[in-house]
Order: sequence, then structure tokens, then C-alpha cells
Amino acid sequence: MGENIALTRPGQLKLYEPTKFSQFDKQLQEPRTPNEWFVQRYPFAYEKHGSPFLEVVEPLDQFLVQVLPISINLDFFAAVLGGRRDFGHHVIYYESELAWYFRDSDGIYKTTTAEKLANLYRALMMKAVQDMPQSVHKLNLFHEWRSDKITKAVVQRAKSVLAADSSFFSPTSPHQRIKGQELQERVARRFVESLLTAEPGKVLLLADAYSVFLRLAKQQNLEPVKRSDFKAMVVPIVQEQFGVRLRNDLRIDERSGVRGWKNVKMVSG
Amino acid sequence: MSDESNPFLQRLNQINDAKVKWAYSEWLLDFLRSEGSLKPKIPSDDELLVWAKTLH
Repeated sequence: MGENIALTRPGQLKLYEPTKFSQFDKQLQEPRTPNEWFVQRYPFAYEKHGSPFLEVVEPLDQFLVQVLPISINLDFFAAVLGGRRDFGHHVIYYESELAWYFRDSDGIYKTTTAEKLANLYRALMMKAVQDMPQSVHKLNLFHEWRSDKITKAVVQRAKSVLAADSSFFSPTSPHQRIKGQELQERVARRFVESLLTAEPGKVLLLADAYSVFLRLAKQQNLEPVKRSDFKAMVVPIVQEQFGVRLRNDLRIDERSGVRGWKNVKMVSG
Repeated sequence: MSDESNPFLQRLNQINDAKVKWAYSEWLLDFLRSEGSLKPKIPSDDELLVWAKTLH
């Protein structure tokens, strides 16, 4: 849709152009195009990544134009997921934990998920569609760019656009995040998913797993957890991931009654 | 007396304006929160006015 127009009438292809206000008219106008709607709300994303959409603007008569958005700027929308700066919102992708955090209205960073960011993106697109006048063609906004394919691409792009390194939550950083069991669980999940693998005949000892987990937790500036708490966290994750239960009857080097998992091994420490 | 010169109405307008912005801000944040997570408490009128002043 719109490709023919784009090929035959390139002069009608428009990016966002800032509105020129007179000194007597400093109020923001109601947005008339999707570009205006998003840039009014996310000016920093425009400054950094450019126009949200490529639009075909066709004159209908002397006074009216029809606007057809034909291409989306994924980088702009990745930056949009970073939050409304005027409201103090902020979303980051914390690379060392492969986790998303947002700053809640109490100023504390809390965990969120890629799926929730996808919901936010689709909702913003829908809100923009609903605010558009009749002169804007809404099919791409409503359907194509709210599809799973585009939504996933936006969230994936946001991982690099919104990436924060481990110093973001370092002890000397001004950023405060939630402390609690869920952070330990997140490290436990990362430990299982990234450092363990299935291998028939191999045995992973609970004691070895616990010592590596403690090292990971220390790297994340988390308080150490008791071995019994680690066991309670990690056993269901290993079962979910590899379909094996914790055994209490393993024999290792003449010792019996050793705790661990069969057919699982650690890929690196 | 116009709205602009009436301090009571001026404050009322500022509170209403801050409430609209707070509601929209919360609408956005709610997409990122999880069910069951504790939401920050609803601010008082005075707290809302302080919050509104922090907006860019």
C-alpha cells in the first residue's frame, strides 16, 4: 500500500517537519498527522532518531490533504519505549541481567518484561489512531504496525537503544531498584538457562551449582542467599528446563546420598 | 474577578491539570507493572502540585 505513490510521486513523500509558531501562537496545535502526534509526545526520540513515519501527503482539494503513513522508523519507536521524559519515566535494558527495568512513580526502578513493553507500544499506536482525523489513512497504524512481527522488531531494537551497563545500578549510582527475592530468582533463572545444559550421563552437584550461583549473585551486588533458599528457587527451574528432579541418592567418589541432578552439566563457571 | 486573579480558582485549575497529567502518566506506567505489584499511593493535592512542578 502506498508503494505506487512512493515510486511515481516522490515529492509527496514527507517526513515530520517542525511546526513554525508565530509569537502570538505558542500553543501546541492538535496533531493532524501520526508524525505530529508522536513527535509532540516524544520530542527527544525525534531529535535523536528522526521522523516516526514516512508519510504520503496528497492534496484532495485546495484546502484538504490526505495523509497515508507508508513506512515506520523502528529506531524512533524503540526510543519511545524508553518512556516520557517530561513525566520522569525511564525504561532501560539492563544488559548484565538481560532484564528490563522501568522507573515507577515512586522513583524506584522495577522489573518489567518484553511482552509488557510490546503491549505499551501497541496501545500507543492505537491511541494515536483514535486521535487522528478522517484525512489520515489508518490501516497501517492499526493493523500492519501493531502486528506481532513489527512489535517484536521494535522491542528487539529497543534492547540496544535503551541498553544500560552494570554501572547503572552500581552501589555508587543514584538509581535505586527493588531489592528482594525476585532479583535472586532472576539470577537463578539466568544461571539455569545460560550456564546449564542437558548431557546424558553427567551429574551436576547441588553444592557446585550453589557456589557458582553465589558468585553470580555477588557480581550483581545481591545479598547471598542460604543454600536452602537457593534450592527452593532453582529446583523448579531446572525441572522446567530439563525435566529432571533433584536427587538425594547420588553416589560420587565413594560418597553416597549426594544431592544433585542427573543428565545435566554446567557449561562454564 | 477573573479565574487568573482568583487564587482559589487558580489552585483548582492547577490541581485539575496535574490530575489529568498524573492519570495519563499512570496509564502509561500500568502497562509495565505486574498484577499484584504494589502501586505507589495516590498523591494528595499538595503532592500532585509538587509533582507537576517537576515535569519538564
